[in-house]
Amino acid sequence: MSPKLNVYALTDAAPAAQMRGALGEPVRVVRSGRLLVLAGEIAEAPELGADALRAHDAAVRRLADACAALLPVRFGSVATEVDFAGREDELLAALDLVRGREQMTLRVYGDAPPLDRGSGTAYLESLRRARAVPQLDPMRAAVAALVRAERTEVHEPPLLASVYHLIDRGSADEYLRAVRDVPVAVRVAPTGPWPAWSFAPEALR
Amino acid sequence: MRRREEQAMEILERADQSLLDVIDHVLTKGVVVSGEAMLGVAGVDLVYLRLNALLCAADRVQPRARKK
Repeated sequence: MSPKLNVYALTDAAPAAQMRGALGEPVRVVRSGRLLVLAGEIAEAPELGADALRAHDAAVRRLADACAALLPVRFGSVATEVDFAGREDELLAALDLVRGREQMTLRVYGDAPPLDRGSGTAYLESLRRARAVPQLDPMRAAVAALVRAERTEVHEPPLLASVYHLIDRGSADEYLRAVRDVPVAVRVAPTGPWPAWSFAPEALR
Repeated sequence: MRRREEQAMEILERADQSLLDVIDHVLTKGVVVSGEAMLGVAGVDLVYLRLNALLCAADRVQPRARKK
């Protein structure tokens, strides 16, 4: 029987030091094609709980600090073997995108803009505009020099959207200063830096 | 099994904004491991369904002082 692996992240270069997982266990580096899987050997799948979720977050953060390019794997990924066949190119491209970078998250609160119900085309166009969260444009302009990639997830009011920005590591303070002083018509709560959770290929599907 | 799922939901209901942010990132983002993977954690599906509603309701419990 193969050991159970609690998978934390994917990378393309092993960390120089021995790392510890969410339970303090040593993190193993398992090759899967051209990818390296960072995982802890565990006896049982972790129970879902606040402490377990925070411990997973902390383990991924430690690994992100130790790897230039790292894609976090979501909590609860317990496997006896991992196989990324057919997804390698996509995952390697994502690793290149996040290399040397980290994520900032903006929660955008406000009222949904009215949709144009004049015609089918106008409705779809106003829906498309709303999904781009145009209320955030002044803030986007203020951080444009820092942002390498953006992903947007639309929710239901009062949480209009979550906007995820990929920035160079070390520029989070500058980013937070830049967003703090921009007047926008919505309320924005920034958090970060995070490992690049929302830039995994399937993160927002 | 049922009891574990209830525990998971209780944690979610009691979560503050910082924990909701952690949950949203570590549970609903990130690479999905497929193939031989066993998503062996009880209650994940339920939490996933409930999380979006809680995130969207967070506005009501956040201090208004942060409003610009």
